[in-house]
Amino acid sequence: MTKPNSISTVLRLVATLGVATWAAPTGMQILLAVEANETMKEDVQAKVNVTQNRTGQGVKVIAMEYYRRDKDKSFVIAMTGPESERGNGYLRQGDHFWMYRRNTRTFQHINRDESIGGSDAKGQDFESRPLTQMFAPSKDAKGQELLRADTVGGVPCWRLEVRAIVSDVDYPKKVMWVRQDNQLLAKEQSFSSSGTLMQSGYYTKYQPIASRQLAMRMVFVDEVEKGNRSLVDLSDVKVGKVDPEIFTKAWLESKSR
Amino acid sequence: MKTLLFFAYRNILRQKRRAVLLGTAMALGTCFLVLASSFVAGISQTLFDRVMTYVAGHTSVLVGDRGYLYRTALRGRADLKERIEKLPNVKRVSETIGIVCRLVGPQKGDNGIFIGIDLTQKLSPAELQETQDNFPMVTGSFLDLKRTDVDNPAILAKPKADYLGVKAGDQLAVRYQDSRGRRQVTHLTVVGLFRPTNSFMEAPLFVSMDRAKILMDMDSLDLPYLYLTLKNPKVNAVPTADAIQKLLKPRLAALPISVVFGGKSQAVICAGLKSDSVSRVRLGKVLPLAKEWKGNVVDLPNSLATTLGAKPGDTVSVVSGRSKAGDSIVDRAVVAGTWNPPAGAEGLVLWEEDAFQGARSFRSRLPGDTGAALVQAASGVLDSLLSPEWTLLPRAKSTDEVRDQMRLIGAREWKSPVVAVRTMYETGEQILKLADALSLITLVAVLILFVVVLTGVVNTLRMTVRERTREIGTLRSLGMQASQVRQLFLMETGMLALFASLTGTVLAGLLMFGLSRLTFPLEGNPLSILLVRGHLVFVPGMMSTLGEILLVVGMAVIAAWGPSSQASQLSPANALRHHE
Repeated sequence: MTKPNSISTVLRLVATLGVATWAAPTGMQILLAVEANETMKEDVQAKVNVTQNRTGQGVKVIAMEYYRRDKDKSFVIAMTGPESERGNGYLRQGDHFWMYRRNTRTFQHINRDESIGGSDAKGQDFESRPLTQMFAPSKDAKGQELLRADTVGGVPCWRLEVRAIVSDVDYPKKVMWVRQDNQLLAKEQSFSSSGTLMQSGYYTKYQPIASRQLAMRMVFVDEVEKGNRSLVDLSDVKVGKVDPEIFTKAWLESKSR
Repeated sequence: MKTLLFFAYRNILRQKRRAVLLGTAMALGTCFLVLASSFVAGISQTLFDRVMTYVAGHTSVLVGDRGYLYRTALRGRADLKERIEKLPNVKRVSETIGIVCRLVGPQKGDNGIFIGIDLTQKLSPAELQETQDNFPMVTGSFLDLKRTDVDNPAILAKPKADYLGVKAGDQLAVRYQDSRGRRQVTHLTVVGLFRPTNSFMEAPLFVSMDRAKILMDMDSLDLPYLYLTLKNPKVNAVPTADAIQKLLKPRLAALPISVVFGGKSQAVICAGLKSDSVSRVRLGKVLPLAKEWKGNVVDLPNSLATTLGAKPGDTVSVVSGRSKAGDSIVDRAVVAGTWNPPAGAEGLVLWEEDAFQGARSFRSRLPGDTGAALVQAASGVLDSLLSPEWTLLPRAKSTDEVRDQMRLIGAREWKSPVVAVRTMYETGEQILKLADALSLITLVAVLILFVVVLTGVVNTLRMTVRERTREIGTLRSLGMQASQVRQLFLMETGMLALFASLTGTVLAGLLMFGLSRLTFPLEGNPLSILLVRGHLVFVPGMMSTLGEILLVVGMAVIAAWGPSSQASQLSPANALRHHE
């Protein structure tokens, strides 16, 4: 609902420094540090592979090319696999979100809440929205932030509980494990309003790109339907101006041929 | 006349075999006619009163929060239900929540539809029976949804429960998206299982409406979909929808907010300003803006900008109340410009529509009429650029138009809440087409049968005239006029047709009684949607049956007209000379 500005950028820098140097940062500093690492000022493109394992349905590998331009909230997803999805795609331009179907050669307006390529991911998952505009550190009855030291796989982390400060987010409550040495998100648990753990995410591999650490491999474990999990792999990540022609219907259509 | 009637009656008795054969044919024809029309009426009743009521309502009011397709709530406007209930011909207004969900049992997961049932409604014995017909319980009852000794009581279809591996008393996880778009999971307790009356009924999972609203993050003031059950729905669906359309005309939306900048805070009234590309172009001609009207932006009145010391490009905080969770709703918005509001709208802040409607949606309570007059005063300048309380979609005339509207909602064409009034003729066109097709097939079959029967009647009468030519000659010699001869034959036929059609109607009644007692399998039966508890439904009508009897008698008399006229035109001398 709000937009980042120069003040928040300064705050993020201060927070990043703070997390790096202070023994016990505040929850907001940790959030700002994670947000600063996630924010891309330039256009991004990458190949994304989602290996989806669902109980009783086997393994499905969904492959796509992803292009993002944050300055006008645009992104394009061109499906490259599996065969049933190849040639299909999605285009977001401002408020408009279209799905392209190769078989019918038609564009159809779809909702941000709809699934992408039959995966668990929704259109809004591919949008960029500053973390601190969605979440704030949770506090206990005494007003203390729910923040403590913990480890993930033996790596020292800060365990921070956050709550949504806006209503239109996927999960109203999250617990984040942020590495103490480099402020990278290592693990994240997402909860429903009733407090039920719904999903655990593990960020297992980062790569330095454009002075930021980009998560290249993530594992999402479905905590409700046991056995369901998705492995997200990014490759061929490039940062820098993406050809404007790509963010058009014509390009998506030509890609399907 | 009496003499003619006596002769006609005597003639029927005199020629028993022929009368019985002809009468049997007409009785069978009448029987099939009554049977078929009652069957079609039964199908129509099943589709209109049972299927349509549950699937789409005879008339419905559909809502979408902030223009999102699946966020089916109109915040703070539950009062609209009471106003709709007072309209004429409305039998019942049911709140409806139905969302696609994922059911997760100990063995497997499967897709389903999460449905809220209003247990506070008083049902007539007939409606109660209808509910029991639609959902015959294997275990438990629908009243168990009111239980408070278990967490989130729920009822589902027995085959679905078997597939998921749950039974009564077990817990089941359901995963869904709530009315704010958040992913949720809730554990439900199975308190009842029902046997689905058709394949469509395997998908639903029922919880009480109160519980469903809580799970969907709605409260008693929020309005979900409304499905209306009407008296005489075929006639009243469209007029009722038109009346609701008039009733739901929205006003302009207003919101009391506080604008905070530079340590100063000012309480003001705020209006939403549309920010789609067309509106932005129009806005540029009305308001001079220093920055583009895009994203989360505000336009402050000059007086407020001066008081706060804010200028275009500055970022102000907009505090718009408290959320249900008790958090302050605070947004940061960039000042796109300042303006000079017209008289009556002094101090009115303009806020980008998406953020404005978001703030309204997230408020724990909407402000009612507060500030509405201020916004109305600004409409003279800003015309249709101001955001309404909700966008009332024009009445769709066909399923195609409904589809187009759904596509535009999916695209978030409207940032305000969206309200659409529909009738079964648009939403349930496929079901109604099915009813029409079945009616047409039945009508054609009956007409073919009837043509065959009438051909038999005409042939038999021609034979009768031929055989009774000498008798006609005798009657004419004794002084009977030609017109009386024709009347005699017509009365004879009419009387026979009347007796036969009455017999056929009784026979049809017996057949309906017998057929409606047969039980047909539901599983894998494509016509199971037309059955009630596996039984065929016949709805004979007094007037329709009377009309059918008159039709049979009338058609028989018309068919007899030709041979009767032929008999009346015989000269007495020629008739007496006639020899077979």
